[in-house]
Amino acid sequence: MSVNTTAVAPRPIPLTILGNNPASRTYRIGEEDHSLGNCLRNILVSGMEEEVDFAGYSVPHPSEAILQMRVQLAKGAKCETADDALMESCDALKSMCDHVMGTVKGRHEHEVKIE
Amino acid sequence: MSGMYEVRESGITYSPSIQNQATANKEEFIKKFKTNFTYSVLSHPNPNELVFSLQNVDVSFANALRRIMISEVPTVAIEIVYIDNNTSITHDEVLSHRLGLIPLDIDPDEFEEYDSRVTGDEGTNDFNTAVFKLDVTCGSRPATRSDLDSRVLEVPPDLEAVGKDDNVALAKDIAHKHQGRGKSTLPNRPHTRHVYARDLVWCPEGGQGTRLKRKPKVVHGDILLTKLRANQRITLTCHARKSTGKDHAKYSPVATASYRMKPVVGLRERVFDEDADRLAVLEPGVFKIVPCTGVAGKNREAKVHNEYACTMSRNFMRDPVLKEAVIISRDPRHFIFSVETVGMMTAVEVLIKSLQVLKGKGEKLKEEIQAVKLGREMGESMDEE
Repeated sequence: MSVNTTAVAPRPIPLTILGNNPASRTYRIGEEDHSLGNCLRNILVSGMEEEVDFAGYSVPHPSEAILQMRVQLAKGAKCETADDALMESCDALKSMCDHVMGTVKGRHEHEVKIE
Repeated sequence: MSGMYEVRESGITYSPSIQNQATANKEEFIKKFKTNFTYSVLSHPNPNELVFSLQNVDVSFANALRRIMISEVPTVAIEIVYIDNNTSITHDEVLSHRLGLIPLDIDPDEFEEYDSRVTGDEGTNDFNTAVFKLDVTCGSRPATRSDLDSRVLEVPPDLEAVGKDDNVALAKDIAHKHQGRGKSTLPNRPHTRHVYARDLVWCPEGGQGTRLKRKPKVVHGDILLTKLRANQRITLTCHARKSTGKDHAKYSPVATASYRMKPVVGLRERVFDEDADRLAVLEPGVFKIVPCTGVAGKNREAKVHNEYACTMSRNFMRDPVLKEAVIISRDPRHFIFSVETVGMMTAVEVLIKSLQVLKGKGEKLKEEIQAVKLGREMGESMDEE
């Protein structure tokens, strides 16, 4: 008997990019939630002020694992498109995580066995 | 500084900082983060408990870590139970559910996630499934002294391994009490068999015997699963699989993972003598009474001693003197995390894994955007042709 009866896993939701203007777009991201949405939103809004005019996210319905992210470029932004800005925010998140991970590993050098 | 949340008599007010906190671009943002970020350990009594603080990070980052630690760090737990025989009082489904909740000491990195899109058992292999067997019978003869000794008086080795003196002492104490009181109060009375988590036997499949560096076992051997009466029997096989807390709470590696913003306590004006004594009672541990010098007629005064002890109780605000003198607030960029794991991973491991998961989310999104862009460009070039 199954302890946790799970139906056949739903198909992965592919990323869709909505909007015709390359400088302001909405991204429909599957299988993501507030964890990623709010982090990227924060980096875009308060970390890349000269690049981005507006960034916001929403999870339209809790029963659907979908995250919607809106990015609008600022005038005079170095990024060519909203795609670039969002990708830069992903890079920034990666650097943040790497830095924190390095600090934590350094502090717990003797007890961490994770590579 | 980045603004403060001040706790008032009614509600909380946020005063944003006057300075603009934002950075112009990604490079500046990362540079600023790296300069300001601080990690410090506040309490780490054993490998499973960790209280630490993150300074100069945004709430979104702290909350993402908390969410991921609870629901997105993968672990291995019993998912499928094949019951061959169960004549115990516990129903199959109840027993299965209990088995599912047992924390297993298995390194999740050594396993792959089971793809449920592969229907039935066809997808089961030694890389995604660990097999445990349980075969217990309660004999019809009365239990002998040696049965009892091996079951009850032994301190489970995993308890020793944890190194928590309290637990070992407690177990020894219980064992001692049972020994003294005679057979009737022993947990394993004649004709009654207690089924513990440690009765689960791991059966290596395929190359698991040599591949797995950590031999799969239960974390806590002394979890009581059910009790058997004379001649009752349970025979079953369990399949343990890897998944995350999002799927089912049994996969969550943490018992609690929470954070709070660091309390900031200040004195607007000096508090003396009786007022200081009252304050020390109303906010225990936060203030220290020190001898007062330089003010005529005052012997002692209150000084802020330990802000971490502040419970944000507003009791002192009922006192007209203290109300004016003391200010309590929270720093919104300083988080005190408290992580307690169930035992399949250490708290530090959970923290590091959560960071890896968050990083992976960003990387995955970037790849997806690049793939869509590439697809779009290819579409355009096709149109031109």
